[in-house]
Amino acid sequence: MAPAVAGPRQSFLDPAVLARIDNLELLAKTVVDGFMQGVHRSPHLGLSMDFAEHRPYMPGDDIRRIDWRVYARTDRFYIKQFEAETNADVGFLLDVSASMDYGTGPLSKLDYARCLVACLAWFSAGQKDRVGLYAFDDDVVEHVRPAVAHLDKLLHAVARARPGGAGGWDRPLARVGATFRRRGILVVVSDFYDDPAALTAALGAFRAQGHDVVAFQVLERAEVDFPFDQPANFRDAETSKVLPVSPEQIAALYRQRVGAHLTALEEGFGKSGVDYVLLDTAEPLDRALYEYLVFRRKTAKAR
Amino acid sequence: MGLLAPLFLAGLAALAVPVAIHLTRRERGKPFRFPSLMFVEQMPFRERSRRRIRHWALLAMRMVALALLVAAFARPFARAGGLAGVGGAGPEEVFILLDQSYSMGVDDHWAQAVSRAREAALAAGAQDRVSLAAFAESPSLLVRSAPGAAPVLRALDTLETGSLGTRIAPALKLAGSVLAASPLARRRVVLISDFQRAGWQPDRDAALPAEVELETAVVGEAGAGAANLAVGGLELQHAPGQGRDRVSVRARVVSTAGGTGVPPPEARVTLSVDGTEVETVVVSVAAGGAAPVSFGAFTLASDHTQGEVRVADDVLEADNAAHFVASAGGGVRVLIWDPRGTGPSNLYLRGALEAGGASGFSVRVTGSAPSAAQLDEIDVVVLNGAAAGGGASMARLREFVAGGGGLLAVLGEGDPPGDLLPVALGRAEDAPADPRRLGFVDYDHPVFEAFSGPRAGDFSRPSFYRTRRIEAVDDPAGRVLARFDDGAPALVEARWGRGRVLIWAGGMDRLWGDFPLHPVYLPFVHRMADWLGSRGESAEWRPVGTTVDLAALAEDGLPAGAVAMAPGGGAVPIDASAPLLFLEKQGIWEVRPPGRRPEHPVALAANVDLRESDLARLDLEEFAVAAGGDRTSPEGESPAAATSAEEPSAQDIEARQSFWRWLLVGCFLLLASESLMANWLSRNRVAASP
Repeated sequence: MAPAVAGPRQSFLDPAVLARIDNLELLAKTVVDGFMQGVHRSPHLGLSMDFAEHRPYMPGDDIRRIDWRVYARTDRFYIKQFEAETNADVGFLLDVSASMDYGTGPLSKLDYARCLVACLAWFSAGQKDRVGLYAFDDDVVEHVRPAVAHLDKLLHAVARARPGGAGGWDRPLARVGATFRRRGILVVVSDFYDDPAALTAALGAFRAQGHDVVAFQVLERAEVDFPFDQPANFRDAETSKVLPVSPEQIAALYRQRVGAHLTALEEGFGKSGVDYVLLDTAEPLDRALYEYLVFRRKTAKAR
Repeated sequence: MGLLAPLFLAGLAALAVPVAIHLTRRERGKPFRFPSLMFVEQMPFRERSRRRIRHWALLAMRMVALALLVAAFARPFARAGGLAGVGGAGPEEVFILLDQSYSMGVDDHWAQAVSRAREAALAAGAQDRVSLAAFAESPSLLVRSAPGAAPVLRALDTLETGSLGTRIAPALKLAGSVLAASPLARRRVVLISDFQRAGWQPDRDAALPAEVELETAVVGEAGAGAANLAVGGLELQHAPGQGRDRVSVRARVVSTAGGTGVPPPEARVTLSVDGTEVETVVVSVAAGGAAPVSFGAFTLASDHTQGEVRVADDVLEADNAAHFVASAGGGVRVLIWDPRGTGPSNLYLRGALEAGGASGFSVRVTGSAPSAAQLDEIDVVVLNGAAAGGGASMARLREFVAGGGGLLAVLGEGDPPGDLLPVALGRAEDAPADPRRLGFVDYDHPVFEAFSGPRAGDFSRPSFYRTRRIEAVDDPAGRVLARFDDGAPALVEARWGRGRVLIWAGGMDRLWGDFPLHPVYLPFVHRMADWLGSRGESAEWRPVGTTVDLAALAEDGLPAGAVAMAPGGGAVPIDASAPLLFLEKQGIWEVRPPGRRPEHPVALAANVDLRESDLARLDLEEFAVAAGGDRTSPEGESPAAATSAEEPSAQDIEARQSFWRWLLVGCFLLLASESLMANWLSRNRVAASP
């Protein structure tokens, strides 16, 4: 179910707006706070039943959450608010390989992924989770150990991350496996240009160890639609291999194969119990946040 | 169409360059960075698609631009037809030459000529420049490089025919020099004339430059063959009468029909003296022939008696009258000094001088050197044969000539003493095979001037079997008046002081040839004696165009402020310091004090040159070849070759048209358009491409 999105809030989530905010912390706070204030009738506010506070009723609030006792005493409507208190380890795996350094719009895939990780980390920190980071290409290039107080460190590491060389999954995942031992949540943000079977197997292994895994696949729309029409030489961003390409000849086949790849990922992650979310760098971040909230509610119940 | 450098067409092979570039370099630009080619690598790649040309318009523009560049280097030009106008565009320098000679007075030839000149001037565009020169014997530049036609039209309104003959060559020289200074590329001469044959003497210096176009406008097509009678050969013979001279007038009536014209069977010729008709004679003149006319003698009433011989009017009025001015005392006293004696060696010479008894010459013959007293009583000495006198007699002879006397030295076998004659003499020589004839005669000299008209005497017929060789003329002022056909001088003129000397190398008797038997002998001898004994210019009549020194004419001096009254009216002021008068018109010129007319003023008669009376038409093709400068046909070249050479060369046409400039402009415009279109397509391509 898609969230109801109000106009002013969307402006804070639009990639074109995000691209103009240099401070990643400010960005995350703005996005998450704006997002949370605009979510109406959400059944997911509060991930635990611990009472937090009352606040005046506002149109759009779920009337089931009106505290009738307070109404009886004060003759005013107040909403009961609950504070989530999961205190889980949340590890963010941010792909910074060269293939992420691509974009035709205001944000590259890596920029988009940075914003996403920052927002989710901010959100998780707000839930008192311990947040950690693994930035990787074919190995881990930035590592922030999960801790409640490591939000700032994580945001700095995310902002510092630069696109690297060829991507790979073996060594980074081996490193994660070695350091992320406590059961927790793994948030993987990547374009997943690899064999779907291997990917699902690798991430499925973390799921088997008891971790909750959500995979955000960030893609540029051009990578999916392949809208080009002029013949040109294409160079692979990771391997630097150059191929002459006549789009009109291969576009249809390309789209078919990309579609098959995405389908294989979705099915593979589904079978492995990994939550899978496909994101387009041109769309606002609210869908990603919403999907993450759904995921956290599901994981919270599980716990 | 033609090409000046066709080898450059090999450059058309460069048209393959854009295609080759397209096929070989089309996708070798900066590779487009893409996240992953893992899906592309698995696909079969078809090279053929790369070779497909997508933007035909761009390719066509590039190839056309290259073709234009190649064509520009090949230097194309158009010889004729519609394209000629394109290349010939631009301002033009037009030079109008208008024949003003008196032959243009035939019928309405002058009106036709002026009309043609107006048309030529009015055809000039606003950017064109027009010059106008009227010409007869010499050209007169009236308008030079004027913008538009107005100045030329104004000048044409003031023009009328003159009394001079036609000489086309000097006019072409003037036109060529003016056009050579013009900055305009297109230059044209419009020559408007009746193109008489006598008016053109081929002259390489008069040939127009190759880049100048010559346009001939012939007037009087209809009148070219009309019959025309002219009066010429006017001679006055003085005979001393009872206290006053009696003058006999002789003339010739010449038919100058230009081919088809038939003169009237009879012509009335009238002699008028001082405005009164004295006698009328009827003569018959065959077409192309001449008839002598003799009038009875009349008594001179006074000096400067004015007379006129006139034939009935015909198509050309200017040559129908010959004017004269007769004065008393016209006889010439001649002394023939022949060391061989007074025998038959002087027979023909003496007979010629005494012919008719009233010829105006009084002749004496002597075998010894003349004394000073004898020389005082004579005007001309004829030294017939080698002189045999001492130094004293030679000195007297020199003094006689220097004082104004005349000397005719007829060379013989012997040598004259010392340096009497200003020539280096060779030996007397027999003609090697055929007899020698006169090959050149200077008809401009007064001695021969009377023979210049048609059928006025044929000097090419007398045969000379033996002649005296004149190796060189020592006198700087000496002048060869006639030459034999081998180039050797036949008659040489020199001057000693105020007197004149003529040296004749052909003999005057029958021993050396048959000259005395020919009709020209007698008038030739008379003209020599007249000229030698006149002590000045002939007073009877002068050709139109002559400049007369009035100081020598008026014995009592010119009156103060004297003016010359032109025939038909109009006063010409005379500069007292240089009293020269140019006889521009035919008729009687009177020199008199201002404001009054004496009963018998000093007068001069001017008659037209009868060469202009011959209306025979010039061969225009021959003229065009000769006037075409470098295009003139050299000797021996065929007329066809000459005609083809008359056309401007390919280089000239190409230089004038300069198509290559336009081709280059088109090439650059195409390349600029191609760049704009390519940029536009490139921007669209970028928007739709990686």
